[in-house]
Amino acid sequence: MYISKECRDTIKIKIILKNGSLLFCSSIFFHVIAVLFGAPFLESSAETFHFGMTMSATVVVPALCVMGTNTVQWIRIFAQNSPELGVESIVYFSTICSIVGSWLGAFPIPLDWDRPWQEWPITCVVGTLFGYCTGVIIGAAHLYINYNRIKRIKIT
Amino acid sequence: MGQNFKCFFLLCFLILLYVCGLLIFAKGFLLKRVVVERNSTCKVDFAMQSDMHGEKGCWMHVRYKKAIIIVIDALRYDFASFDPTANDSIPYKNRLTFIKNSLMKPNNAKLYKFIADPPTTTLQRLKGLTTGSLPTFVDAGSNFASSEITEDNFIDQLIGHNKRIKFLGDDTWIGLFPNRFNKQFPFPSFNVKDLHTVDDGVLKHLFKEQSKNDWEVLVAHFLGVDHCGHRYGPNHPAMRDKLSQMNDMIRNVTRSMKDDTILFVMGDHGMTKTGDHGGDSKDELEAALFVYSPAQITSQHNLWKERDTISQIDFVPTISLLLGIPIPFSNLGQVIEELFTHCPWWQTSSDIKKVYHSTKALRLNAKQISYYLTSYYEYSSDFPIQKYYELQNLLDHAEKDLQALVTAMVKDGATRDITEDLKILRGHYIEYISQVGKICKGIWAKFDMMSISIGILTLLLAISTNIYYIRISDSSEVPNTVVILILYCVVYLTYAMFQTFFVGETLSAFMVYILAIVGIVMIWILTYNFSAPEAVAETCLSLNINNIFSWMIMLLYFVLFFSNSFVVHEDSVTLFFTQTLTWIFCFKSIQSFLVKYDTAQLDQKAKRHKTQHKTYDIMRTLTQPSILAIFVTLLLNVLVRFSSNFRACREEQWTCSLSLFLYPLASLPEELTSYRNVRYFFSVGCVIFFLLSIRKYVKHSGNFQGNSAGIICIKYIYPICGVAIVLHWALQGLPQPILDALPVWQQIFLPRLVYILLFISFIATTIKPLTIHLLPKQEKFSVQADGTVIPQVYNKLKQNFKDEKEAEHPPIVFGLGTTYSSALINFVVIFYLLLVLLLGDGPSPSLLFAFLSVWLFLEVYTASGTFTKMVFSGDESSGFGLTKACKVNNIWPPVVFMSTLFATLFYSTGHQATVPSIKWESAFTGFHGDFDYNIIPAILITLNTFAAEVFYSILCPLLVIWPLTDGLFLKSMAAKKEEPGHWKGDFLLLEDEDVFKQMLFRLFSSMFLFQGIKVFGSMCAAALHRRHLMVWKIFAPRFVFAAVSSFAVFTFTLLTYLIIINIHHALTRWVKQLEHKKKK
Repeated sequence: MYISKECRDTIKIKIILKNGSLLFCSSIFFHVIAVLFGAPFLESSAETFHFGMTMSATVVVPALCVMGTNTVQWIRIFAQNSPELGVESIVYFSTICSIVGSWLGAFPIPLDWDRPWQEWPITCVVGTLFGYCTGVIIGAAHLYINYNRIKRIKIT
Repeated sequence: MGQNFKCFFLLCFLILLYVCGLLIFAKGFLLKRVVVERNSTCKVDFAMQSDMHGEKGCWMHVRYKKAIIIVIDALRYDFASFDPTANDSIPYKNRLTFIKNSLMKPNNAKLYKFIADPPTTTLQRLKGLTTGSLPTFVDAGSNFASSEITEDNFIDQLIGHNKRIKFLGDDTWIGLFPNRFNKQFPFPSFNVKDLHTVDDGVLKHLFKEQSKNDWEVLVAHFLGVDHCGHRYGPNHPAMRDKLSQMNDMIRNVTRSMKDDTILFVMGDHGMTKTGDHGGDSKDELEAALFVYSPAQITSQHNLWKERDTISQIDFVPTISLLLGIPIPFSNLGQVIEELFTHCPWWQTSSDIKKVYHSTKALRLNAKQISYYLTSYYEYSSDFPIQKYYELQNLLDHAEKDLQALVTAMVKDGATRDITEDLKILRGHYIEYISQVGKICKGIWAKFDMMSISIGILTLLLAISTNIYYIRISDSSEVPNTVVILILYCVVYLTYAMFQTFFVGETLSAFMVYILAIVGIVMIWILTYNFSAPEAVAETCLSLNINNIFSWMIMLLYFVLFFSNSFVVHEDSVTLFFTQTLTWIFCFKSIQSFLVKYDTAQLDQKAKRHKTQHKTYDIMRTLTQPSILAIFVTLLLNVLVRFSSNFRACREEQWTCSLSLFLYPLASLPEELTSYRNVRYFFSVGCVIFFLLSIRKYVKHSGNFQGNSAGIICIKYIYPICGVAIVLHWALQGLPQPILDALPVWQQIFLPRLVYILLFISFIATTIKPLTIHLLPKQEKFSVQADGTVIPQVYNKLKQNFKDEKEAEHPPIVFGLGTTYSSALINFVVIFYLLLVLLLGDGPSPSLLFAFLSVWLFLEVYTASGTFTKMVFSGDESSGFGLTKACKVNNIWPPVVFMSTLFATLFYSTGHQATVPSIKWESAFTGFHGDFDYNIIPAILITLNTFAAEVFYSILCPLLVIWPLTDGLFLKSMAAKKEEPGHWKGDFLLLEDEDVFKQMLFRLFSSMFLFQGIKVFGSMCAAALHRRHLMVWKIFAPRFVFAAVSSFAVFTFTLLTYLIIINIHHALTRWVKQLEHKKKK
């Protein structure tokens, strides 16, 4: 199908705008969630928003890159837990792991070790990034194992 | 009937197991000190009267003939000390000007920091201040029923030496020392709101009695400062007035003092920034002691550095020796040696005399302590033997040195540098005394390991039994093996109780351990081998996302008790857990909506859609079930998060500042007074909103017809109660003087009215719990045109459920589909109003938020449940899907959610798991002044503290009932699918009676399991950290709170169970009656 150059440009701009606004909304969403989970409401809201942006960068951006704004795809992958082996499965694992990582990141905060890094949201941000990395590694391992299995099945 | 009784009995038995385990553990953990009931006498070999001056005393000469002891409750050190830099606007600073002025004459007056030993409650402090011993944790609980002191104390010693004592003030003293005083003027102490009665009463008699000549010791105990602290906190103008009054009193007392009299003015403890006490923070521990006499007490010297901080028990040996009586037998305090550096009979005063005299006092003190230790050793082997001999050695050594010194003095005169030697000797005695004190403090937290381990094992047994209960709830019949299990447990319990409470630490304890372990293994085998008659799809142990997360949260909750920082921040941690669980449920329900969503097909559709028209309907997206679920979850989160504004601060949370809602309405701090009306009307609005929404709900579900008891309550009684509560709050918001000027009956009328009305409605709704209305047949159904037409017609249709073929004119019954829920909600309202009244206007809105969050959660849960789906998709042929649904439904995750939610609510109602944060003033809602029985204030305070747990226990059966009545949410989603005639609501429960009971049994067992695991965690943490620095501050109170809160849940759950059974029976009777009528 042929699409004229200007048309392609408008589509691109549209997509960029759409995804950008989605990203912004998701940052706000994660900010709100952080506050609801117990982050301070007014103080250090810049830091909280920073956390929200990190979350959306590890949770939403990969998914947006792979699936775009197609809701059906999102439903299939996240609500029905059936990502296709490949990029989708890696995104699936990395997303879940970064959420779990940020959740676990909250645990050192109340401890009385008096370390400067115990300040909100440092541990959570670090947890998110660690979770993301772990997710990617798990995804890769999962891909490797299953790919080999499928290949074997196909060969035999 | 039989089945009901069986289940009830089983639950009671489980509670018995838990309670016994807790009692046994508490016995070992919260240990009491061994009281040595021996008194000191004059005839001791170490006291030799070598002074040839002064009136002959017992161990030392009589320095003062008379003493006045003035106790100003909660006189903190910084109330008494002068701070020139302080701003005059601080109400508690620099008010005691007399102390400042008299300190200008340093030989006649002394001011000390007077460090109390925790717990800082008045009763404990008085024990310490008279016996000189260290109180233990357990005594703190008995503050309401003060018991007589049997240990040796200076009051008894005074009486033994024919001194007459006069007492005025706090009647706690009379409880401690009945029939000891020659003349007494006691005043009730418990009424915290009353700032003046005690003080004015004491002042009325004090000067008159002082001028009489019939006393040697005068004790006056003022309570105003403490009550002012409890009522308003230290930062309030009332405190200024109170302290100025005290200042005048001290000045007047000293004016008529003679040279043979000494005055002690002391605080028994301090107060926190909010005016409370009981814990062990710096502010609570630092009281003040002011010593004054017109004659010279002490003398100036520069031999050693004077102490400015002394312990409260130091008062006991000091006053004893000054008055020439023996030091009480079990005293551990050290004399204030500065007060022994001057004697009026000395012609000249030299350094040697000063040192010698004070060393003599110290020696007597050390000897007395050594005597005490020796006899304590006979009673109990707690004291480490090596340390004992080491200390004894130190003392013997000092004695020898003294002998040598005296001999040398007699022989050579004062040639050697005796002052230096005496100073070294003095150091030995002081070291001995302080070492003993330190060790004793350590060992009186000595734990009875046998009881602790038996308690832990018993609780493990109880938890195993509990899991077994949940397992057997899968089958509709209670299996016979339960009988064996109960018999075994009874044998074990009897043996364990006997062992811990009568036998004590012997080898036979091993028998108990073996019995317990065998029992636990047996129960686990039974649990493992139990097979329900029908296959069970999902139990609390099967793997799915809800279950895994619930168990994980449970496990984390269990583990967090072992970390002091997590216990300190438990309020935030439980909030975090609750929010996590809400999202898990949200996710689960979204998944269940979308699981059948055909992605492939819709993909194409969407593509086609795109090419055809690009209109985008925002309303359709927003009303999508999954989007709705997210919104409901967000709302739920907001409610839970918002209620965290009502939290109190514990002192370890140093970043926390007290919330606006927790100050008493009458004494908001200055910067917050502008919020006063906002806060009041917010609370009022919450009460109104609650009552209106209940009314609306009941109307909506069609239970608002007719005039049965419950309906009359909802229509008239509850609104009246609400108005009374709101007016009561307004009255409490008045400034104190105006409120005090009101007659007593006006102060207590409104709360009492609420109590009475609620009691009446409780009785009425118990007798007639049903809120259904049967329309007589001949009566035509007419619609009242008052705006509720649609619900009425709808309900008419809804209730039209009887098979139409069977009866030509089916009876019209209102509200049959929500019989159980609306009857239960009646009770919920009763308890809500009671708890709101007790909580006061500040934290009461959080109860409404909890109620709303439960409602929202039930909506999400209903929507996500496999439960509802089973009921509705249940194939028509087999009748009801309820039996099947019950088998499938797993109650554990929602129970975990509800339990964590209400664990959060405990904090959101302004409580913390610490002793100072208990709201003692709640005992005065509806009561004024003193109580004849302690049972009423105890109940009121328990209800206030564990409001969350009580409310939870009443609400929890909704977990079973609600999914059947369909939430609004589900209805809006499934409106198309269901025809109204099909809907039966919770009336299904009547038809499937056995299943209903089974579900209730499972629900209550699951709740008990959560509480059990929680209390087990706090117990293990307390046992493990028993030598931790913070054990009495963090772990022990956490254990006590967990134990009492689980006990509250147990009790009120049983009550709820009875209520449900009552409703059930009433409904059964009603249906029978209906059938009977029809036959006629």
